[in-house]
Amino acid sequence: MIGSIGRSSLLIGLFIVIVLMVVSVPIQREIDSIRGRFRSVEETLFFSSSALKRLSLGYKQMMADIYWLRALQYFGGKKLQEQKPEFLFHYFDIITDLDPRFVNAYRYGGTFLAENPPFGLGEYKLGMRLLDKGRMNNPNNSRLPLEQGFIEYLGYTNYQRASELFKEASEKPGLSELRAASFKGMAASALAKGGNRELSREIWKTIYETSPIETRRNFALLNLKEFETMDKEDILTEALRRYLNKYNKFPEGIEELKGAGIIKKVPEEPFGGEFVIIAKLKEIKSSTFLKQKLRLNPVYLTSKAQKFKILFGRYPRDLVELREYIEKKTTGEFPPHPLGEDYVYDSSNGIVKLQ
Amino acid sequence: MKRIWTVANNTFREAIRDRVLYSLILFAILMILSSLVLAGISAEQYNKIVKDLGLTVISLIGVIISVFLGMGLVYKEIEKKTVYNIFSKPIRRYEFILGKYLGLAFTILLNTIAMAFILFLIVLYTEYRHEGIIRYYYGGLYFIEFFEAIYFEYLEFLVIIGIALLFSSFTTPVMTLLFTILLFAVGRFSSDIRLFAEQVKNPFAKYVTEFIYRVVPNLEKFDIRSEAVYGGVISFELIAYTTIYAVIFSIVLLILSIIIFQRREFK
Repeated sequence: MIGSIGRSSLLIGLFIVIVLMVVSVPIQREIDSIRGRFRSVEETLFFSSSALKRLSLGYKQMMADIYWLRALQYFGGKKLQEQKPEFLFHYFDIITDLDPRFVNAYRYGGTFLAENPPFGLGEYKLGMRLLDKGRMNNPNNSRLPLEQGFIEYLGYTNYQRASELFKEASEKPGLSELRAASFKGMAASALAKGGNRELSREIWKTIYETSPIETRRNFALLNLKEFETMDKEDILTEALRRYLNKYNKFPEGIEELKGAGIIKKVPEEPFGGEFVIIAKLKEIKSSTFLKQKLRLNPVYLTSKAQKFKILFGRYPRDLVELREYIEKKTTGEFPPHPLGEDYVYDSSNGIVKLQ
Repeated sequence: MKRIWTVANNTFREAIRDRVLYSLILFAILMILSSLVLAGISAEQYNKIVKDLGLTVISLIGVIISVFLGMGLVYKEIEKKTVYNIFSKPIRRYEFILGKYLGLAFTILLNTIAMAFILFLIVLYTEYRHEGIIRYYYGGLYFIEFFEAIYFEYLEFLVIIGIALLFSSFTTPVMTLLFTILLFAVGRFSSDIRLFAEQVKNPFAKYVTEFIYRVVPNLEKFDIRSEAVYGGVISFELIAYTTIYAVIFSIVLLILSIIIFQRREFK
């Protein structure tokens, strides 16, 4: 006997409790499906931050943390096309009103809003508003102007603004001399040359080392690997041309460049593929890039031809007209055939194929 | 002095016999431990979540204990008529009030130390486990600021005990609870009152709000939890002035409690 309740009564009681708890799960799901899983989160979006400050009874940081965790769960669980940028902005606006020193909230929210898909929502103005607010509330922080500069440079090719932001980052207190000099160099480079590989590499490197978002770090790593591959392609192409000058014939393979003493060793292709000689272009290319371009270039050109038809009621007459349309009427470029051949174009259906 | 000590000692013994106290501390510890789980889903904001949640819990539980134990401090003795026994001995009324205050202050000191110790272990574990990333995002680990934040929270408890004791000396526990919570809320929004005082155009309303701002203890002044997370200069002057501020308010509240209690008639 336990107290005045018999053992069997206790077990029956516990059993009923467990059964009821299990039964409650599908009922709860039904209620969620009717009222919405995130109803409570969405309702709190309409609170103003001043009201929340009062509700928090002075525990503002804790309230900011609760909102931060909810934001991660709520927005992290949604697909990009389901996201509502104004909700996201409002949420991060509240978080940073409650805790103005929460630098990672500005960085996380700002970059996610401003960056172009697939990593962001492409909401430039909202993202910049959040990052501007962060810079204003944390005038000694170098990461916020730096982050903003990256978005301006990589996402929107706004080199003038990027340069100003890199310069601002370089002037913040607490930076090592090396860091400050590196940011100053980035500022000068962005202003002088606009888009260039060295600066882009430096930016992706910094993003990789500093971003609070794992997917963004992974994307930065991917970009760094692409730059490494491009560098290797350039070195090998240069070696190939020297070989051609010397022997007036193509080597049987890359190994022959090493055999001829032009390169010390055959570099590894960073994506696990190999480097191949494109005889017609007198270039050496990564097989990974090559496969990608062979697959994507015709798709891209076909899509442009389809767009041409929507605009002008007919397909381009030939590839010359398609090229002219892409280069003059869009922000894109006409990609050359990866093997140096010509594309095959059917003007009756606008389909571009490889030879 | 000895008589004050005796009352304080009895108050402390009585307080630690209260089961509610242990339930609250247990709850606090569970909440502090739960910060580890929440930190894991915080996108690398480990130390922020642990410190924010931990310090908030210590503050909340400290305030609750101060209010709930403080509200019955004097009233219970009157209600149970034990006050007659006490005053049949050579104990003066002011000694009784001071003893009650010190007894509760000591009880809460021990509770705060216990909760802070557990939180500190978790902070240590979290910060050394993720040291690199925390140093990178937050610029340091800020242990001294952490203890300073706890100290400031304790100063706030001392003022709240004073408030609860003041109301307890002339009204019922329910009313004490209500008044203390109200004053706590007003004290937490002192900067809003100040802002209102500065912006209001009517001179009378201006004086009234300015008066309220000066009279109500500004509990916001005891909040340096943000510095425990982000660092920041907490100067010796700030610590000294805040301590003096808490002591002044506690003395004022004690004097008011003693005056009221002295004038009270027990039938």
